[in-house]
Amino acid sequence: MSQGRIGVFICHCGMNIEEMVDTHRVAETLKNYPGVVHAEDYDYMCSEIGQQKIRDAIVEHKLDGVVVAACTPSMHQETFRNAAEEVGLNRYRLEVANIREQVSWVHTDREVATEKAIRLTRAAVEKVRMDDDLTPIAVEHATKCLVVGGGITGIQAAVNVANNGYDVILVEKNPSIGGHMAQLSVTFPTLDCAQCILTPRMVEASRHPRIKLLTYSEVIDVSGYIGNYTVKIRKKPTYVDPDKCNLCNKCAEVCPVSVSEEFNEGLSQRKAIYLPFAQAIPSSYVLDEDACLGVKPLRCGRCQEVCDVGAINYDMAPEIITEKVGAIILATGYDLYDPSNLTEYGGGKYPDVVTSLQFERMVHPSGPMKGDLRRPSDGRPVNRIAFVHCAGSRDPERHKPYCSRICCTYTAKQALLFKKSHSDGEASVFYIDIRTDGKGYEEFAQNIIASQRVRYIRGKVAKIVDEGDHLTVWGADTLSGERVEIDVDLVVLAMAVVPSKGTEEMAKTFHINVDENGFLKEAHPKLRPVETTTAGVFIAGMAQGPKDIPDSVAQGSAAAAKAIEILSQKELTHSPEVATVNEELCSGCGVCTRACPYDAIKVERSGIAVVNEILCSGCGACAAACPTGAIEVKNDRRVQYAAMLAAVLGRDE
Amino acid sequence: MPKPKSVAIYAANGCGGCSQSLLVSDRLSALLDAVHPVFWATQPGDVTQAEIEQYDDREIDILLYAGPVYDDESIATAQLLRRVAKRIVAYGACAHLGGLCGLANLAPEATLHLAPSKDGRFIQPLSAVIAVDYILPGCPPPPAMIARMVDELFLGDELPPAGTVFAATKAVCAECDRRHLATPLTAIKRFHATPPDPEVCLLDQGYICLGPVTRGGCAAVCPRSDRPCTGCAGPLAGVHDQGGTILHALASLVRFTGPDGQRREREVLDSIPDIAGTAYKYSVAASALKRRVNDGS
Amino acid sequence: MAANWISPVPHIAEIVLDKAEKRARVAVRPSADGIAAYLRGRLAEDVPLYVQRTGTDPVAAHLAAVAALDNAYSAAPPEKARHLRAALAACGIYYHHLLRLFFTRMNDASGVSALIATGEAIPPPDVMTALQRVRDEITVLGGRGLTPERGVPGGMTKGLNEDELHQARTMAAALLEFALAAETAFRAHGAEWVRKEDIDLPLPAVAVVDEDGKSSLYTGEVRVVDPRGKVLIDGDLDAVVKFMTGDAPYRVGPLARFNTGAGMPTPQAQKALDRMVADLGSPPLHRVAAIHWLSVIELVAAAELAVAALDQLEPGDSGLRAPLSAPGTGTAAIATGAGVMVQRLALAANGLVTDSQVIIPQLEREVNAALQTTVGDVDPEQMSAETIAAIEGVIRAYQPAFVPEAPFLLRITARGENGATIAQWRKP
Ligand SMILES: Cc1cc2nc3c(=O)[nH]c(=O)nc-3n(C[C@H](O)[C@H](O)[C@H](O)COP(=O)(O)OP(=O)(O)OC[C@H]3O[C@@H](n4cnc5c(N)ncnc54)[C@H](O)[C@@H]3O)c2cc1C
Ligand code: SF4
Ligand code: SF4
Ligand code: SF4
Repeated sequence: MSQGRIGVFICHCGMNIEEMVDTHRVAETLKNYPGVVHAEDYDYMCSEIGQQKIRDAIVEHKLDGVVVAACTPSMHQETFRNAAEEVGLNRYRLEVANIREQVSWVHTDREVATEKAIRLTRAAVEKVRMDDDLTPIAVEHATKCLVVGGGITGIQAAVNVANNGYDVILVEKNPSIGGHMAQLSVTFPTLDCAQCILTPRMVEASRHPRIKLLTYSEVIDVSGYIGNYTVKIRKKPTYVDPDKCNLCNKCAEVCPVSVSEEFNEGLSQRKAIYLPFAQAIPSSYVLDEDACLGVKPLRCGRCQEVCDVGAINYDMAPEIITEKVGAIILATGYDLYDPSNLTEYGGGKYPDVVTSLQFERMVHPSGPMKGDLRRPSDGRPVNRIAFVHCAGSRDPERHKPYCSRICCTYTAKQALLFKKSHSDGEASVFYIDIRTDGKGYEEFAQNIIASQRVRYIRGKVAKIVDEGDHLTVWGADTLSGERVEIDVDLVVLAMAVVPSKGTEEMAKTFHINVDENGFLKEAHPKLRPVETTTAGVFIAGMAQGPKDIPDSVAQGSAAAAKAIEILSQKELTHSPEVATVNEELCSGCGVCTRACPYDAIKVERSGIAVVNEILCSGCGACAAACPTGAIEVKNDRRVQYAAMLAAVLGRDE
Repeated sequence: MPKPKSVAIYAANGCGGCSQSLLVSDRLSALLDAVHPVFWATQPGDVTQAEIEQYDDREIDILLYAGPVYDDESIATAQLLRRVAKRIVAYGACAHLGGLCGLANLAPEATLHLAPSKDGRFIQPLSAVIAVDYILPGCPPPPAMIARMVDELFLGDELPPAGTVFAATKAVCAECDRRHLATPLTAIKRFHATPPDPEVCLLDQGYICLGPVTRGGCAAVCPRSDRPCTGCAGPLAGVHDQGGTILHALASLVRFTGPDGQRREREVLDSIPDIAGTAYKYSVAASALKRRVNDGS
Repeated sequence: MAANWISPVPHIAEIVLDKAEKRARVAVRPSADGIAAYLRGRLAEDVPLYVQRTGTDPVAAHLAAVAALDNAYSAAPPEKARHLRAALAACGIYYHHLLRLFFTRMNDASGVSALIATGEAIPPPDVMTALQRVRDEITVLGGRGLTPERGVPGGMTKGLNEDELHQARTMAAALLEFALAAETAFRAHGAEWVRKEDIDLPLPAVAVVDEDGKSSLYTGEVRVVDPRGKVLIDGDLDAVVKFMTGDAPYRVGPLARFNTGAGMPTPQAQKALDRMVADLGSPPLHRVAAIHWLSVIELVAAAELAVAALDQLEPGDSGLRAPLSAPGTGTAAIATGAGVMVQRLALAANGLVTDSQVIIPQLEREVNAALQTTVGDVDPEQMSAETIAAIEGVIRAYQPAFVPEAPFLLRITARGENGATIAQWRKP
């Protein structure tokens, strides 16, 4: 409780507040309010000078409570509390009255606005009057980090965290890490081979003494809170011991089952026992349980017979691994939008209409065509090619409303690759407009366009027709206003990117949100791009939204830095403004337990509700629900609200 | 005040249950041994205003007042009694909260056998018209609470502090053995139509039990009889409005997720039949509910 | 007018002399029509709770409402529930008669019961113990002491466990023992007084009879007989309702039961009745003071009925509820200590009350008639001590110790045309 030595500071926020609120009058009025011993107004309270004013007044007037009437507390409450704490005032005895968002920005009558500002500031004085000194709650925490997704983003984050001296568990659902980058041919704008720059990173991650790699694995359960998450991971059996496997390929030779090969985007076949790709890590064959004729019970067993080193073990069982981690980074990447949604282009139907990712594999020297580009339908060479931008992107009516960001640049890259190997070939690119916003990308693309070796047609493709030995692309050139109709051998659709399959369920598992397009949602689009609303859970890479490799890597590092912020603390602190239960009143009715959105309150055996302060967010849902009035949130007590209400509604003396 | 020497009992048009509850109390003989009974009026006519006026100011040490206040005459009588009694106990739900009688306030006016008081009110709790020193809740008060009142008020060395309520400070739930569910509430049930699980909290099962908002001290007899608490002991000290509080607790308990969750929550809450008779059974007269505004039934 | 909206009690509060008519008339509290407005829109399952707080016998009111609900939901309670209810009903009668017989205003004990209670035969603490015991018995059977709460349409919410059943049986046996002692004591100390009282008032009688035609203390058919014992109505509930709400005076309660039924439903009570018949004669009997002797005999009967019902009961909660059909209208009549109670409930499809009627035993009709024959017309301007004593004599014949309804406080009020009080006399 304040002994009635409260200081009040009214901020002009430049003209933001001052224009609509007579801050001087607010200060003068508050000077006469009971318990207030000091009141002043100033241009920018958040500036160093403003903060110094608070510090000086606390010392000079021996203030035991401070009210700053300024912008929303979510902006600067921490700033002001830090300042007050520096000179010895308990930080929880400083309150912010919001006279910008709630007053100056929403009113048009200065008189009314000033009166409202006075009332809101008075209410904050009433609250401060009854605020208690509080001590932040210290919480011990785990020092491991969980990274989900072993694409370039996840690898980057894992290596960053590990290099800072913290253990990392890297969980990848596929049998190998590497993600989509491993499938790419070369990367824009430098045209260096994707594998060549990725493989060293993959090796680094797998060899790092602090990184525990769990491939073929998924997180199935998460509980706990920042600093203290318990995660359960399910690792599928590969039926092959990676330490014994010497990649001899004998098993695959005898395997009678063939299925379409994911790594080559279905352009080739693999066996039920296979090596995901040449540079796969872990470097080992895996047995695809779903494709295999049967392991349990064993139906075939030929692969085990031929394995010289005895690496194959049909008795392998799924493992459940439980880990305690302090922070979590989600980097689960993307998938392509299903091309069969684009019926007008014959997506998923015409074999010679391929996705951009298929094209990457087709031109890859170690891809299904060994780099020798041919039509998938009849194996004939490709001399005429069309690329279609925005296939599924930027079409809010029928497909995805957003821009996939990378397609303009990679299409330029792909067109260039085509021209490099087919100098006489014809390449046409249908585009809406060209968005090449990365460093060096514009130059890269413009070079290709300016070279005139690729025909850029501004316009949308209306229809593609498969004529058997060629495809006809119907479109309109919106610059010339003419209809275009060209015959080509192959069409490449620059497909929209979408969150990887299962992103939404995974978000639920981790108690975070997805945005309207299903990408993982950041806490603030500008200021907290890799944080989520769940403390200690971070997001990075394509999973957060469309982006290229450099941006993905940067976000991976950013998320690593945020995770390290937690892992490196001696102990974590938690706001002490949490719910408390009055044991004299609580009857154990259990109503609160279901009102709490955070599972933070439980009725114990004793018949009394107990708050887990670390889980408690101080939201007050339980206090409102509690039928006995047993629950109060510290420094948000009913008596405080009653006094605040009286101060807001009360008549002027 | 030294130990009380005299007691008087005044029952104002209650059902007679309160008088009987005292009559059959195991502590009645102890009470009558300790103090001199001035009168025991089991209905208003038993002691007239003129007779009450004969007593000196504060002559009667303790007055037990049962039944509600219901018209100008009963208000005048209560005021007279206040003058002649040192301490007054609101005895039973009617005196405490207006009781079941209070529901009559919501009946169409024309059907009431009542004349409104000068300020336009019908049934009121005693404390609405005079200062009340103690409260003995219950409809009628259960034996254990009566015993506590007799012990503390008549047999102890010192009078209990003014404002004492001779019931528990915790809610009925604290005395109830039923186990809680972790699942949200998805439908309102009625105990006569669907027999409840005898082990599980009635509220958790969807029966509107006033246990959480009601003072204990009754040993949760009603939930023990497989029927929800009806709230006769009135609100806990921290509860302003017994009915409103159980309703907002219900609003917290009813939970649906998914896109039409809110609509389904509304549907369940809207399905509560006879809200006044359920949430405010004994406390209409003590609540914010005043009169029926819509007579369209 | 201090009307009583949910407490439609036939309190005999005052004797009103209408100045204009110069006639003594017992004023009663308004009848139960307020209840219909009160109950409209309330939950059906709460009716037993509401009506038991209307100032009538709370156990009987609860059971009558529950019986009406059985009919409204077309649900016949299973056997186990019927026995439990029967035991409860018997305790209700026992409690009612005990109060009626032995309790007076605390500092004014006189009359026939006082003869017993203050006499050597039954020490007052024993009466007190019996009263508390029957309260405890009701608590065990019905969940709550004065206001049992376990009745639901189609049965009871809860049964008795092993311990409770044992406890209930032990208490019932003790109650029977007390009833027998009271009957012996009454013959020794009270019979004389009954013989002396000579108000003889021939009236038709309304009572419930069991399947053997004997007086019922709970369920059965309602029968109406004329003063000579001729059956006027036998079981037709609509006709009964019409009769009870009509203008003709009639009698309910122990004396009416005596004149209507063919004896007591239990053996020891029948023996006691035989002894009374030997003294006062067989029905029809119209000697008002016999009510008290009969009440003591019914005390024995009630205890025997409780013992018998508990003998039939098995421990456990299963088999206590019949399934309910869609709600409709239900009427039921049951015997109560004071006479016959009829309840009619009309329910909407959602189980809310749309209409209701509650007919409670109204003693005042009989008292009015007795005053008319015994005191006759009086002149309010000329009230002599004798007139007042005569009026009191009538009241005492009915209400020797009737708590809480009418203690020994007699007030006579004369009213003018518009109901205004012009004069009041009160016996010191
Ligand atoms: C055709 C095409 C060409 C491109 N060319 C270029 C280019 O030239 N230059 C450039 O900068 N960018 C290019 N990109 C973009 C580039 O592919 C991405 O920016 C990059 O791969 C994003 O990496 P990531 O780790 O965030 O996602 P991903 O590569 O998708 O990796 C995500 C990983 O997470 C795993 N995962 C998913 N869900 C789970 C789960 N629930 N549990 C465990 N693991 C999970 C996946 O299996 C995958 O391994 C191109 C993209 C396309 C489509
Ligand atoms: S809601 Fe209130 S009374 Fe009920 S268990 Fe929670 S804290 Fe206790
Ligand atoms: S409180 Fe209950 S028992 Fe007492 S008089 Fe009122 S209704 Fe009757
Ligand atoms: S709500 Fe009712 S049933 Fe549930 S614990 Fe409380 S009193 Fe018991």
